[in-house]
Amino acid sequence: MAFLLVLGLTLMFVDLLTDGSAYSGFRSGAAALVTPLQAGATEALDDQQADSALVAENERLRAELAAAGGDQTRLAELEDVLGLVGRSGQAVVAASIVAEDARAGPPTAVVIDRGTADSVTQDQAVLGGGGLIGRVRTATAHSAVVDLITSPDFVAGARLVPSGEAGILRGGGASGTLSLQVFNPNAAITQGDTVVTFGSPGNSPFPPGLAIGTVSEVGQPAGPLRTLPVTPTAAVTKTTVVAVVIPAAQPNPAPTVGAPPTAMQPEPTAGAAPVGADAAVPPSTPSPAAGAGAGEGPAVAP
Amino acid sequence: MSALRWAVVAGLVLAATVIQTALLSRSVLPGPTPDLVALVVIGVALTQGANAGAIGGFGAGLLLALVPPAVGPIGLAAMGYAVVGYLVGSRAAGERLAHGEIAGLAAAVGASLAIGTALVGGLWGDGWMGPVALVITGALQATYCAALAVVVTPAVGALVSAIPGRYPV
Repeated sequence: MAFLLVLGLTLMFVDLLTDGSAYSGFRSGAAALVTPLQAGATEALDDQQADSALVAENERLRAELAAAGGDQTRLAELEDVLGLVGRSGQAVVAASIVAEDARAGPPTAVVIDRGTADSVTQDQAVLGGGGLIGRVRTATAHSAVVDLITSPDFVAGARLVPSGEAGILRGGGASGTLSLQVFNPNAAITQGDTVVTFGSPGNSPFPPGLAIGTVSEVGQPAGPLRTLPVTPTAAVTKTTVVAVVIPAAQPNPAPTVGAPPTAMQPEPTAGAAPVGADAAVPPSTPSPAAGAGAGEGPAVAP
Repeated sequence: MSALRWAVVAGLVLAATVIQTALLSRSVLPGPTPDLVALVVIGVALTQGANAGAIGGFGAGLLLALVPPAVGPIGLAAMGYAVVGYLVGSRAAGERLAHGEIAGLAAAVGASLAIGTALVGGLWGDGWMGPVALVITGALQATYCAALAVVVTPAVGALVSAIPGRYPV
């Protein structure tokens, strides 16, 4: 018994010191062996595979619609742009949640049944239940682990709609809520404001404008480091079908290194910019997606 | 224990892990997922003794940390389940337990593991559960374990004991 405890402690410290990399081979091996069993069990449970592609596309549209924050003019605009989804360069891959570990309370991560063979790779956004539910932590050939937005490790740049204020969104841990730290101490925020993703360079992990949640309370007065509770749009732990957002293929970035991309240049046809972004988040910062736009590489290269 | 018996234990632990992560986690039951793996470890420890219980528990914990979603560091759950297997095996191995005693034992184990996991998760940075949520989680896990143990634990014990081995208890 003492030997087992020493062995357990040793294994644990190696895991902690190497940040998991020491066992990554074992973990992916276990995933390759066991996830097919998990997926088979889940499929036997509910035979929803046929619909899952449609459900996933629907999730994506709902996430983007929710980002409009109920604003009617923007809604009309959005409906216009939604027609471009097929050409927007951001494909979605439908996946089922096949496993989670909830022995001690709400899960912080789930397993989905799509992996690198289906273009699902690390650091992609995962949608479900009408909003963002997480990001891909690791992927094997036919499965991936998704860290949920409610996990305490979760951090994402965020924007408020309609005010456009930026901030940092964090997972709140076991309580199931999120918290948003707003940069502008004097930001005018009202209860029910929608929180959407700010967007990441190259759309990875997060394309801009995906609905995350709504501000549930504005109790704290305006001031520096103001932190607001946010209720997730998605019923994170009740979702069974998800859509993984596959960012548009990046042109080779090497030639443009050092040269500022002409990002403000508007793109006439959707390009790689996701729907919610342009419609719901107008202000200032250059859309990170624009740098990846088709045809710009040659223009900037010397 | 014979190699064949160990193989059966390994198969049961794997089956419990898959059922627990893929099926029971989808159930409509509120709160935590029933800890089927713990019930298998108890069944092994009751019929095979403390050492087999500890080793079986250690292996089960390793598997839980390796199989996706692979929550927590490798070795932590292994130590928890090994302690469970050792304690159950050293106190009660070979005794003919009534249904009520098995249920009580499983409830205690389930609640301890759930609360322990949540507390260690807090230390680990998984976010602290409030005291009320902690108690509710422990109580629900105890209830689920007690209910399932009456069926699962004797079945596991009988199956493992039925396999030829050198040290039948």
